[in-house]
Amino acid sequence: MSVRWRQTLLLIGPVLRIVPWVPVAAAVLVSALALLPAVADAQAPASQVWGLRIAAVVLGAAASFAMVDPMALLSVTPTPRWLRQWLRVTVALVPAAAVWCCLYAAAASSAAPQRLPLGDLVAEAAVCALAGVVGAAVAARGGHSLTTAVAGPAAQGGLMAATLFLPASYSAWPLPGAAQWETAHDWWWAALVVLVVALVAANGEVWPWRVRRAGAGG
Amino acid sequence: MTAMLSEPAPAVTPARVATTSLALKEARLLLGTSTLWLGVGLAVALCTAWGWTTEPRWDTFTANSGMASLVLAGFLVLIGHLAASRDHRHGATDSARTLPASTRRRTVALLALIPTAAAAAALAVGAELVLLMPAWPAGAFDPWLLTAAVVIPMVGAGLGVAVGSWLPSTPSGPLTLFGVAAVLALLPVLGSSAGALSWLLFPVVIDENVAPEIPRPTGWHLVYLIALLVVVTAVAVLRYWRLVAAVAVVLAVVVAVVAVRRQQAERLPITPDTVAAYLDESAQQCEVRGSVTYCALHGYGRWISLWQGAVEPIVRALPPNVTNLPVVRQGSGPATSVVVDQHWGRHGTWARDSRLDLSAEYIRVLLDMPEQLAGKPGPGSLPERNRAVLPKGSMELSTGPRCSGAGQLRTVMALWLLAQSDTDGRALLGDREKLRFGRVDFGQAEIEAARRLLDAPRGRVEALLNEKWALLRSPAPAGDALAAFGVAELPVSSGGSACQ
Repeated sequence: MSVRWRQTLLLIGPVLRIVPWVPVAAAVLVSALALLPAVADAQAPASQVWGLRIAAVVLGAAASFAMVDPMALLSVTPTPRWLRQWLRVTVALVPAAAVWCCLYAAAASSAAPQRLPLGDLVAEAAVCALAGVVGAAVAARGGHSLTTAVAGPAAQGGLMAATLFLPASYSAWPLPGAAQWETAHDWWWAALVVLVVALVAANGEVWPWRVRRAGAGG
Repeated sequence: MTAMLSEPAPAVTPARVATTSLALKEARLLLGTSTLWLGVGLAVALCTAWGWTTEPRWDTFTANSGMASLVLAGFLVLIGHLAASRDHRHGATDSARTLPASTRRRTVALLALIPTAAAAAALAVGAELVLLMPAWPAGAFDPWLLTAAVVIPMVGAGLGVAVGSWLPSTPSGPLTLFGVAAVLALLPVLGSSAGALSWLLFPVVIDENVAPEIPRPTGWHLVYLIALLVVVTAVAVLRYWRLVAAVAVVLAVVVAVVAVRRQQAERLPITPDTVAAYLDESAQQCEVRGSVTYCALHGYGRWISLWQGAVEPIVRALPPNVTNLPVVRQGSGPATSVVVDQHWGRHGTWARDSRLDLSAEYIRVLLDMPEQLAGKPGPGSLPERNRAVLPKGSMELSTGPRCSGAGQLRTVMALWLLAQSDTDGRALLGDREKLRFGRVDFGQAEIEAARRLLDAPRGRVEALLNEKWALLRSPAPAGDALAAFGVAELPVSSGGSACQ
């Protein structure tokens, strides 16, 4: 087994302990409540799709609080930063994704006559959740307190504010079967790519550039 | 030289003074928060953008500014939570305990965020009104709804403080915000009609006012919002005055339930029959401008000049002996009048589209052409817009069968008159989308004939109008009437499809 794998296995336990599980549990509760109208009253139009969207946002908001390392300035570790940060992403997002999939299954079974396109809804949900995680990951490069992670929900709020109030014909949130569904989801997929690239960049090592340059010069 | 040195007496600050100065400090801190001003700016920008394309009316303005206030309230939930949980961050809990001010006094001082939020919201609403200038909202002014736009951010700030004093961990602020946003987003999904319970629970009244003077229980809605404000405020201080705060919560919930019940009871069911009295001649105030009478609903007097801009160029082109000109009525009116609704475009092409629609409608009534609607027309005449006037399903709209106006002199003259109403009549005749008279169909030949008339000296066309006026208000074929203008006889549509 390579050193990396051994490090990873050793780190899983501590990372599991540092993820703030109470917000995650609260988010699971809120997202289940958001889907309640869809399951209880299948007649309510659009409640399945909107329930799933809200669930993704709330789950992502909770997951973003796992991204900040309060001890980052002090921790001199043998593991690279990217490994620690990606472990945080994985540990926070895997349960969120699992919960979302359960909610999707519940929504899809209640929306019998309506079709819920899984692939496109996954793209939407991934962008909604990752917007928070990426926001927190970027902020965590410089900030190390709990309030640093508020950048995650703030990024999600920015995403909502920028897209929710567009005129109906340019809406980023069409319902399945709407004319602009395809176009809107091309944008969702593009946003997903952008967010993944941003997450890769944000989870990289925070190089002390000045020190390095001074060292190179000297 | 001797100096008398004595111990200064220990300064004892009265509790009230201490609380007041803490409260003022909290208010100053909030006013210095850039996030608050970001929220105010976003609210003003959203309200302005939502109202950009249409002439302002009080009901749409209060709906837009209420929704914008809801966005501002979201910001205040976060700010209020961060302020109330301040003592618990960065391990400051122990340091905060050594301060002379108790947590109770600090929590009470935090309630200063609520009136400060009201001031910020009032500023936002004021800015939204100023940005409407030079236009000003028409229709019936509803002070309760305008106040609601100020109360909603107060509830947001109170909610933030309440959650922060009970759940000070940082994630609970954003999660509360998203939870509340989820509930608010799902309320409209659940309620299908404007009177449904979930719409009444929604903080903003966003359904359009069918008629300006129709009674709306908006006062009760404000009572409901104030009850919500009392609930969140009482929850914030529940830890320190358990009995008083608990009683306040219970009372406020009772008041909120009563307020919602009153709204349900006092809401007028919106059907064509119930609203008729608020839209017909008795509800209109008439004014004569030039030779045309304009009748506006309550509060819409300012719009008469907008309608005049659409009607005046047509009336000027008519022969002087034409007397019984159609009356422009807002709301509803007999078939011989031109009926406009409560929508008018603002700025550029939106204003031009509204103007051309009214010009075309005026010409249609003037020349007695068949109207768009078959069966009983509802309030408001422009059918594509009635959807917005009445909630879906409350009125059946059916478009009558299309008929052909090909070859009729009236069709050609209607096109010529419409061209008079725009600065560039020739360009207008090239735009098929804009040339619509009720359900009358016509072809390129009629448009070409109208172009010939446009090229001819205006006096000759006016003479033709004068001479053939009686013929113009009938479906009679043009025959050789236009031969003098170089127009060959137009092909006439035969059979039952010709317009009558």
